[in-house]
Amino acid sequence: MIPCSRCRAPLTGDVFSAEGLTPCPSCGVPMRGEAFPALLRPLELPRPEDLKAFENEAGCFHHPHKKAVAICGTCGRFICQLCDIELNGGHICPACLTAGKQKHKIPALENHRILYDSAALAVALIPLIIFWLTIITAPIAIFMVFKYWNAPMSIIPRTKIRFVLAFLVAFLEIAAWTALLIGLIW
Amino acid sequence: MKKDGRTYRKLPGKKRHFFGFSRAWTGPDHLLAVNNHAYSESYRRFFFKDIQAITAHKTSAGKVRNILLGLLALLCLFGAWAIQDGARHVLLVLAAGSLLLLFYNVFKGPTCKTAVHTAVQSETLASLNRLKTFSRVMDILRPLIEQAQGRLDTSDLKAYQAGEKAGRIDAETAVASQSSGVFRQSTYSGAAHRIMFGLLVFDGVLTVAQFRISGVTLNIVTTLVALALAAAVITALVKQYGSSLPPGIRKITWGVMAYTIVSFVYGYAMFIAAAVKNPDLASNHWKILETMSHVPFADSPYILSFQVFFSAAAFFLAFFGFLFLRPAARDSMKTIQTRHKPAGDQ
Repeated sequence: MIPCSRCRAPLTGDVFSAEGLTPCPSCGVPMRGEAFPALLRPLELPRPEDLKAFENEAGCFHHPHKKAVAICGTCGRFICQLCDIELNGGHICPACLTAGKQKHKIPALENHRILYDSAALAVALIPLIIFWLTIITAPIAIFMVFKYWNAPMSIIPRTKIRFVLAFLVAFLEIAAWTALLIGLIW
Repeated sequence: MKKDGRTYRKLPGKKRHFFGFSRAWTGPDHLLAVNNHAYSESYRRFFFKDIQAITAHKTSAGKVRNILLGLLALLCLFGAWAIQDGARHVLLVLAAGSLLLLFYNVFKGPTCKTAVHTAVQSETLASLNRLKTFSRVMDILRPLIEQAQGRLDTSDLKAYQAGEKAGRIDAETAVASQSSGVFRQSTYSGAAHRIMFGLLVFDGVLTVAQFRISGVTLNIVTTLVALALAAAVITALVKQYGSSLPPGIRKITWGVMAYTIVSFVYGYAMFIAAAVKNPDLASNHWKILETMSHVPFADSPYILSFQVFFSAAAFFLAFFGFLFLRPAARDSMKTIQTRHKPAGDQ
């Protein structure tokens, strides 16, 4: 059942069949929605006889008494319907999935990424509020630019302009400090 | 990374947060919701073959913004009309800016909250916060989802409406699901709202008292009450979320929030005006407070009208707040019956 996102009451088909706004049957908030065939798709439960591996059939690596239905695309082990995870059109076992997620080898499972370019730009720009801090943060910003230049960042399109700007700003800050120190010495 | 980047297409809509924003993208076989937190991003994927429904319900955020921007524009225009010196131009610029934002907000259309529903989760898509944007995005997503799942027949939808087909529910589960489900909201009786309206009455009384009595003590007490009111209104807003309080009380609470904001802005403007008129006292806040406390209302129609407005607004909001709160306080727990009849009644 699809719940109303405001009051959590189940929605009726009126919400999905109407062209304009329809009030929620419970809280009355005007809303509209679109439903798709997945809503009516029945759950495909395996039959018990399909799960049992007979003597002449390959069994699952993790559940020897269950019939193998696929081969893990990463480790090559036979896996049963319970262990079979469809990912990006292929099959993978839970162990490889866990390992791949921990080692960040499966981009489709990555839910979080650090934006080192934004961080480097912030390290270069924000300390300008208190200028004397930049004598410490400017080298840090340049270090971050070089260290994380090739690090994986956002999975959506993103240029390296922030890294370039961070480098330029930090370079100018260092140049300003150098000029200041030379001026003080001479 | 470049390879990944090329596969994603940006969807209309963007929701800005304090330190980031939310956006939606379409991938080769999924919808990607991206939340940017300034120095990191988090992703949620909704595969097209798994999406059961996408819903959007109207919210009042747009209306509230319209009201606040309109009030701000009116206040600035009134101030520009009342003041004859250089600050007039600043107020006119502020008024123009507020009106521009108001027109922009009206142009963007009503606000909404969008959710994507799959078999295991219902997640909000923060970037689709306007009904117009929702329509545009659905025009893009619909063919992609239909390509993965096919099109839903109206006959199937009618069957779903009748409750005969209900996704993964078989006959036994259908009976079990037709028991009277209850959705309990929070058991909040309105105590925070009573305190808030009480403070509002007190604030109104103090504002009226300022017509007759002038002094630093009264000014300080009024300020403290205003601070307590601000805390009370924030508490009330938090408490009313998910509670069974009627919409009237909720709207009045938001009205009290607007009143509090306007009164703080007015107080701050008065402070700045006093500092500008007495530049030698600008660094001594106590002296400025004393100066403000002894401003005769009758000499300035601008100040007089604001004081009348604040006292009237305070009593008006408090009166209707207490009026609507009485029946709501009697029913502190409200149950919402589903459309399904109880299993015993079939």
